[in-house]
Amino acid sequence: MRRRILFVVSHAPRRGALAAELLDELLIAAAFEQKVSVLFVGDGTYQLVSGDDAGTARGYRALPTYDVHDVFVERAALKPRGLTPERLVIAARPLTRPAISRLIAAQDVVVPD
Amino acid sequence: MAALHIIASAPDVGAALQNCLRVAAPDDAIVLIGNGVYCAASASFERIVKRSGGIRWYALEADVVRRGIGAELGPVVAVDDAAFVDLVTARQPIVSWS
Amino acid sequence: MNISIAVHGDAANSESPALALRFARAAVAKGHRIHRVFFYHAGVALANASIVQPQGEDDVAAQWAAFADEHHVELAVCIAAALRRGVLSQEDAERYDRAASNLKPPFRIVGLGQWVDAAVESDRVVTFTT
Repeated sequence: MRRRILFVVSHAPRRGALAAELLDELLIAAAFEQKVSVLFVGDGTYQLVSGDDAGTARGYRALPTYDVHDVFVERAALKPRGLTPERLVIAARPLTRPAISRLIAAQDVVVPD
Repeated sequence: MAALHIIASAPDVGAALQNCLRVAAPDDAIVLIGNGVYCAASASFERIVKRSGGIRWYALEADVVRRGIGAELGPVVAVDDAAFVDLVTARQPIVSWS
Repeated sequence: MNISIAVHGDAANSESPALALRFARAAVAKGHRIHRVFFYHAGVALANASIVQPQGEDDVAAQWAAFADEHHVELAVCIAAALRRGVLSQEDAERYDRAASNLKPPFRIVGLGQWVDAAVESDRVVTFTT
């Protein structure tokens, strides 16, 4: 049985293992052929921005390699943070609020960061 | 099926409630648990609820009582742990925010 | 229903494990089945038998152990998160040449695949965050 599992990233990069551990959960769900998607909201969008400390962003950049293509970002979160979809390390579909509500409603499991 | 959002952190800790409210659907429910019940005690909470449309608000009674903020609950329905379980089984998915 | 629970916080820094236990107890009292409780991130500390809880404070880890024994609920601890935070089974203590193991029964060390299994086999997955 394939579950629809959405990972929601809402925090800016934090010290420690949290981001890497969320990515591990995501990748193993994908490896087990679940229908995995990931959504970046609010300050979580910063995790898709690559600076000198490219740790977290590097992990997300590799998602297509693991056959995870359903990557979404909260459209309203970008501009207030000076971000555009082009500045993100991976192709992420900007979603409006109603689209995010629909995405969530379609899930079996939602994993917070 | 409509979702259930769980808020377990107080407003001073982070953006859990704000993030939740920006993506919640009009027929979703939000339950405040643990320190999340402090969200209901803030001065701006009444305005937040008014602007949240049809969203149903709940708080775990035991956590409200322990923190002594029962009087400020307003439109939030206090529920016991059994009712929390019922909310979980009646809604899908369960979205936790921190 | 079959319900799985994920615990992401530890007792010293978070109310997460206590809230999760209250939920688990209420779910069982209502006749639901807890398929698995999965301890991840800081939550793996619940399985650390080296922790000494001050007298007079709730020992949430002991309460989880008692609940699991009484209701035959699986307490699963992610191996990668556990190693990173110094929770070691006998096997891992030997493998990594550490002085002692400290895995508290009945907590079990499992791979991350057990979390995916919980997601697949359960009607609901409830996460108690850090």
